[in-house]
Amino acid sequence: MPHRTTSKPNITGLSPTLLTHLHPLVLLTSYFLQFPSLVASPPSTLISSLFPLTAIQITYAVLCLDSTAHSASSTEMKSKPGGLRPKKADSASSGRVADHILPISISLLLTATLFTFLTTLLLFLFGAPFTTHHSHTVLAATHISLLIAFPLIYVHRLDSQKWSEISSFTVPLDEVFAASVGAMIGAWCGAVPIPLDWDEPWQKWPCTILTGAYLGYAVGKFMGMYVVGGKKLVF
Amino acid sequence: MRPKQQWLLIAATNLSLIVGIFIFAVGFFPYKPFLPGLSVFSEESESVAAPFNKVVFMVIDALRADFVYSEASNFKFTQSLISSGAAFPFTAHANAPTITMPRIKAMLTGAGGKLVMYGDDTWIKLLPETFCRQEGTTSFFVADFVEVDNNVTRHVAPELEKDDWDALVLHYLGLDHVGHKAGPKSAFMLPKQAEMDGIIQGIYTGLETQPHLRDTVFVLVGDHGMNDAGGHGGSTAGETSAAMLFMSPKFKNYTNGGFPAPAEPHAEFRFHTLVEQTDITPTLAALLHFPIPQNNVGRVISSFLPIWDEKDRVQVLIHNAQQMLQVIIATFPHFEPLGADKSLCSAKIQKEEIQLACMWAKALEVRSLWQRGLATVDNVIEELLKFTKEAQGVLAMAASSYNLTLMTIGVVLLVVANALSLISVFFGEGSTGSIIYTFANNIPVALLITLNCIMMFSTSFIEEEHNLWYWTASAWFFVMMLKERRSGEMGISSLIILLLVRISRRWNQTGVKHQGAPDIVTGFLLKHTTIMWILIFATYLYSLWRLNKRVCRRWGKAPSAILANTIISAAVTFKMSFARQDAIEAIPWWLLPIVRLFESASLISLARAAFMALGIAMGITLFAERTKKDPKRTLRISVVLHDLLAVFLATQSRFWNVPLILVFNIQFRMLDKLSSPVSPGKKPLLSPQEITLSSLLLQHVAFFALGGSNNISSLDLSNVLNGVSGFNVVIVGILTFLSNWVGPVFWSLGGIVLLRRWADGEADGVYRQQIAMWTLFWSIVGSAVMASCYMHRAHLFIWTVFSPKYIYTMTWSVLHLAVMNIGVGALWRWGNKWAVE
Repeated sequence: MPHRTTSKPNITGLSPTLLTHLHPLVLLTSYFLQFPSLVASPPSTLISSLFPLTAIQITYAVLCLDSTAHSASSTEMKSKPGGLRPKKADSASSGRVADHILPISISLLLTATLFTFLTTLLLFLFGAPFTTHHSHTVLAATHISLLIAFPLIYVHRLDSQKWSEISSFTVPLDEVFAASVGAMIGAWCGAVPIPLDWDEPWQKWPCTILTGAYLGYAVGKFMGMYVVGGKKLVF
Repeated sequence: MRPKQQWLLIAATNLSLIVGIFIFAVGFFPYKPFLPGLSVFSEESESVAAPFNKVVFMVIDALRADFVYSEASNFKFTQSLISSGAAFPFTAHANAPTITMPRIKAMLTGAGGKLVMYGDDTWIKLLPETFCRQEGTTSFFVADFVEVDNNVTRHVAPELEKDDWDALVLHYLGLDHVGHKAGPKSAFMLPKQAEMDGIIQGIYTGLETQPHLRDTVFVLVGDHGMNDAGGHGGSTAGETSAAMLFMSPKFKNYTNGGFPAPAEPHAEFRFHTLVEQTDITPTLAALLHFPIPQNNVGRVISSFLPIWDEKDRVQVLIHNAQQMLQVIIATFPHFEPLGADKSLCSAKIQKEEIQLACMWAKALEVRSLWQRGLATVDNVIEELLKFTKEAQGVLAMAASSYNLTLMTIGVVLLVVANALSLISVFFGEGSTGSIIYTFANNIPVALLITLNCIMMFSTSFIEEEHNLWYWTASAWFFVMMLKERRSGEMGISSLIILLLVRISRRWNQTGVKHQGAPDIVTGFLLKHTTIMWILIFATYLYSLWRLNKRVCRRWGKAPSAILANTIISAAVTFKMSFARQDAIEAIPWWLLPIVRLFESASLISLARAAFMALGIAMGITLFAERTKKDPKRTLRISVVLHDLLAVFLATQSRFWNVPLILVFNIQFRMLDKLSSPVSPGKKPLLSPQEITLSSLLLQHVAFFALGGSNNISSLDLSNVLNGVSGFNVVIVGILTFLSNWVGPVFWSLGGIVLLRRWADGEADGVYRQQIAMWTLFWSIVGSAVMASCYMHRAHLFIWTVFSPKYIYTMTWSVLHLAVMNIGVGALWRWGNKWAVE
C-alpha cells in the first residue's frame, strides 16, 4: 500500500523521496549519538531522547506520508507495489500546517497510551523483567511504539478493517509496515547478546533490544522500499 | 519412500547415533592409567620420623573457605585456633572432588590401621567391611539438616574416650543440606556453623586433654564449596574453594605465632595459602608416616616441612617426587628419566615431558651436591618442589589421555547419522521429492538447529542454553497467534501458550549467570505456601476432572469415578507426605492436620500405592479398553495415557514444580485445540511439521523451566527412590531419568498425541515423519556438541562446561530420543492406531 506523497517539493522545498531516505539515517544517527549516555543511565536518556525521536517521526509523517491514503486505497489506487502514489489535489495539502495538527495529535496520543501499553505487554511476554526495571521497559516500549505504531496510525487512521489486517500481519509490506516488522524482528534479535558473559555495560536491559529495534526499523524500511515492497508475509 | 524403508533409515540413524555417542564418550572421558597394588616406602624413606600416629578426619560437606575464615564466619573457636597458631589454614582448590575422597580412603585402608566412620553413607557403600565401627547417614532428605548431623555427633565423645582406632572419619552433611535448601546466605547457615564449631572444639579439647590423643592430627576439610544458589559441581570460584585445616597443639611451634583470623580474601573466596585438594593425601601420609598412595597426584604442602629435620625434609619430598614420577611414566609412555645426556634441556621450547625429565634430573643433581656439602638444603627443597609442581600441572591437564582415534570414529558415525536422518526427512512422508520444497517447509526447524549448533561452541551459551529455547518459543507462539488470527480466530489460544511460557521460564532460575537469583519458587511460592498448595491441588483436580471422564469408561460412570479418585488421592497423599518429610515448613498451618493423618504410612508404601493405581489404570486402558470400539471416536487411548502420564510426572517432580504440570496441561489443551479441525472436513490449523516443532520447543522450555540446565549440579535426586526399598540400579536409573526429564517426556509423548488427528485414516506416516525430524534434530545437535568437545579438549572449562554438556547430550539422544520418543512412543501410537480402526 503506497503512502508516500509525490516527489513534488513540499514546505521544506525538498523532495519526499529524498526525505524518506534520509529519515532512517537521521533516526540511527540520533540514536547512536545518545547511545553512550543510554548505556550509562537508561531511563533518563530514554526520556530525553523521546523529544528528538518524536520530532523526527512527526516530520517524517508530515513530509513523507499521506494520511488520507486509507480512504482511497481500495477503490482507486492500483499502483505498482511499493511505488509512489500521486497525491490528489484536494487531499491534505502539504502546504498547510494546520491540517496536520489533528491527525498528528491523535496518532501521538494513541502511540503514547494504547500502543505503549500493548508494546509493554508484548515486551513482558517476550521476557522483559517483570518485577524490576519497570521504567526501563515502559520507556523502551514508548520508543518502540513511536517507531512502529506512530507512522501506522498516521497512515491508516482508525480504519478497523486495516487494523485487523495489521494485527494478523496481512497488510502488504510497504515501507511503513515493513519498517514496523523490521523493528519488531530487530528488537527480538537484540535479546541475543544479553546472556553472554562479556560483562559489557551495554548488555544491560534494554540497550540491546532498542538497538535491534532501531537497526531493524531502518533495514525493514529499505527492504519495504526496494526488496519486498507490496508483498505479503507468508507463514 | 516406502514406510518400511523410512523406518529402516530411522533405525539405522539411531543405531549410528547411539554407537557414535558411546564410542566418542570412551575416547573423551579421561582415561587415567591406574597403578595397581599397595604403595611401599623405599629403604631411605622408611626411617623418617612420624610426627603423628592418629588422625581425626572431619569432612563438612560443601564447607566453602569463607564459611570458616571470613569476618562473617561463626567458626569462632576454629578462628581462635588459627590465630593462636594451633592450626594451619588453607583454601583447597577442589576441581575434581570425586577423586580426592576415594584416595584418602584408599590410603587410610592401605595403611592397615583400624578405622571408625560416622556420617555420609557413600563411604560405607564404597568401602564395605572397611570400618570396625560405623554408622551411615543418608543424604536422601536434603531438607533434613538436624538429624543427619546429630546422628554423627552423638558418636564423637564416646569415640574420643577409646584408644583402639587409628583413624576416626566423620562426614557431616547438614551444612550442604542447608545450602541446597536455602543457599549460603540462609538464616540456618550461621547456627549450623556454630554447631560445627562446637564439635571442633570438643575434638580439639580431647586432643589437648586425653593422653592417648597426644599424637593425633585433626584434619577439617570441605569436599567442595558452594555457589550462590547453594549448589555445587560447577567451576565457579565459590564451588571450587573449600576450606582445609590441619589442627594440633603441636603446630604452635611451627606457625610463627599463628595466622590472621578472620582473614581477608586475596581473591574471590580464596583465603590463606591456596593448595590443590589432592595435596591433602601426601601431606597426611607424611604426617602419619604412611607410604603415599601410588596414584596420588598431590604434593606435600611445604608449610609442614619445618616439622622435620633437614634430612627428613628432603626424604619426604623425594618420596613424594618419586611416587609422582611413577604416575608420569604410566601416563606418558614415552617419558624417560634423563641419563647423562642433558643436551635437550637447553632448548628453549620443550615438550612437557622433556621439561619434566630435565627438572627431575636437576633436582637429583642438586641433591647429590647437597649430600657432598656443596649446596644448601633449601636449594634441594626448591628444586624438588619445582618438579612436583610442574608434574602436578602436567598431570592435571593430561591431554594425552584423550583417545583421539575413538573420538574421531564417534564424529564420523555422527556424520553418517546426520546424512541418514537428512535422507529420511527429505524423502519421507509428505515430501514431494523436491528438496527445495521440503527445505522451505522446514525453515524454522533448520534455523533452530543451526542456532543451537552454533551455541554449542560458546561456554556461556552452553551455560545459558535455556535462553535460546525461551527466545525461540516466544517468537514461535507469537507467529502462531498471527496464524490463528489469519484463520479468523482471535488468537487467544496461542497467546495463552505464550503467556504460560513466560510464566514458566521464571518458575526456576537456571543457568550460571543469574544463579541463585529469586524466581517464582524461591521468591514467592515458598513464602506464600497457601497459594502454592492451592496451585498443587488445582493441578491434581484438573487431572481428576480429565480422568473422571475418560479412564475405564467402558465400565460406566461409577467405576470410572472410583478409579480416577483413587489415583488422584494416592498421588496427592504421597506428595503431601513427601513434602512433610522433605520440608515441613513449606506446609501451611491449615494443611498440617490433614498431612498428619498419614504420618504412620511409610513413604515407600504411599508411592507404591500411587504407582500401582496408575499402573492398573494404564493396564485397563491399554488392554481392556482397546477391545472396545468407540463409535464416536472421541476416546483415544493415547489421550488417556497422556493424562495418566501427567499424574505420574507430577509424582516425580518436586512439590513446588507440580503447578508447572498444570501449566503444561493447559498449554497442551490449547495446542490440541489448534491441532484439531475447526469444522469437520477442514484441515487443522497446525500442520504435522508445526506440531512437531511446537513439541520440540516445549520439550526444551519445560526441561529448563523445571530447573534443568547443562550443569550436573542441577540434577534432582530427591525423587529417585520413590517406592523403592533397597537399591535397584535399573529402577533408580529409570526414576532418575524421569524425574529430571519430566518436561521433555510430557511434551514428546504429548507431541505424538497431538498428531492423532492427522493420522486419522492414514497409516503411521505422520508419526514416522515426526520421529525422523526429532532424530534429525538430536543427531545434528549431538554432532555439534561432539565437534565442540573435540575442538575444546584443551579448554580450561572442558571438565566443567563441555563434558557435563556431553553427558546431557548423551541422555537427550540415547534415553530421551531412542528409548523414550521411539520406544515408549510406539506404545502411544499403538493406542492411537486402534482408535481409528
